[in-house]
Amino acid sequence: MKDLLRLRTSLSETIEQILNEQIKMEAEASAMYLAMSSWCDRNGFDFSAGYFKQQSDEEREHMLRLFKYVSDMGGRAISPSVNNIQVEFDSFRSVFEQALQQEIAVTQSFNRIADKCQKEKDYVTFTFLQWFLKEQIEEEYVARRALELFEVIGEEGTGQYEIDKRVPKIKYENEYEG
Amino acid sequence: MHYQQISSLGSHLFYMMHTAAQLPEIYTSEAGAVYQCDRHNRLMLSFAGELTVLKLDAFLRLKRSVDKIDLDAMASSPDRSSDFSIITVCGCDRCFVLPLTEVYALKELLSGAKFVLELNSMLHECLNASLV
Ligand SMILES: [Fe+2]
Ligand SMILES: [Fe+2]
Repeated sequence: MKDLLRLRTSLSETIEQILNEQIKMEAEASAMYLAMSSWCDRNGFDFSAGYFKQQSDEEREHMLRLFKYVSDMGGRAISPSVNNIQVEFDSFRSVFEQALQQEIAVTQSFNRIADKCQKEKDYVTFTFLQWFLKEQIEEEYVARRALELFEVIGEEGTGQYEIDKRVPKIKYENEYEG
Repeated sequence: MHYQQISSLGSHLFYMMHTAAQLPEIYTSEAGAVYQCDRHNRLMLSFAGELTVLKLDAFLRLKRSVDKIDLDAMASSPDRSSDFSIITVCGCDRCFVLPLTEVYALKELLSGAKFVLELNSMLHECLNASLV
């Protein structure tokens, strides 16, 4: 008797489902960054607006990378619905706090997926995930550094303006520079 | 008639004529049976006196939507509309209108069949592994 399940796709139902959930999470992250960009724009934080717009584009790329993988493996990639995205934020600082929290949630989510892959012995997907796990180091680093600017520079006087200007300049270095 | 309709009618007739006799049944219960046709990569569901030909995808969709039915709510609701459940899925031309007991029977039949499909998958994996 033929193995119809395996002929259809090499992804198990569970793995297909959690990858689709991650596709949705990336789409929501993209929408959230776009909302942050809009908030910064209308509150005079021009540079941060550009930074969040770029983050939003990156999250969409992440979504498409996952989407392509599910499709390539014969799975059913689901174009996600994204609803009820926040519009208003309490303050300039709180935008960055939420951005960091979002990145932490994404990292945790990828960790759980990797864990699931190991349990199911799906090393193909596990290997595919490595790119994302590595990417999250950078994503969290940048979000954390941005938030730290609020401590380092301070919001008083022209502080917020200085912070805004510095945000897009944050770069993650892969190499350790002595 | 459209070519595809003709061909699907044709394959239906083919299945009707060949069912049960030659095809391996993967799971049987009192309520019906599920067969697998390796020649066409299709599953056949025999339930309540009718035969339905399904691609694996449609079979999995059907199972998911049957699993989603809240049997407790169906049983406890005095509402007449919950005496029956209507099940339609994409890729399955049969519309199931079933009372509680039959929903239960179909659910059991589908999960039994799914279990055997998974078992078969594992067997294939073990066989492949032993060849290396
Ligand atoms: Fe991402
Ligand atoms: Fe990110």
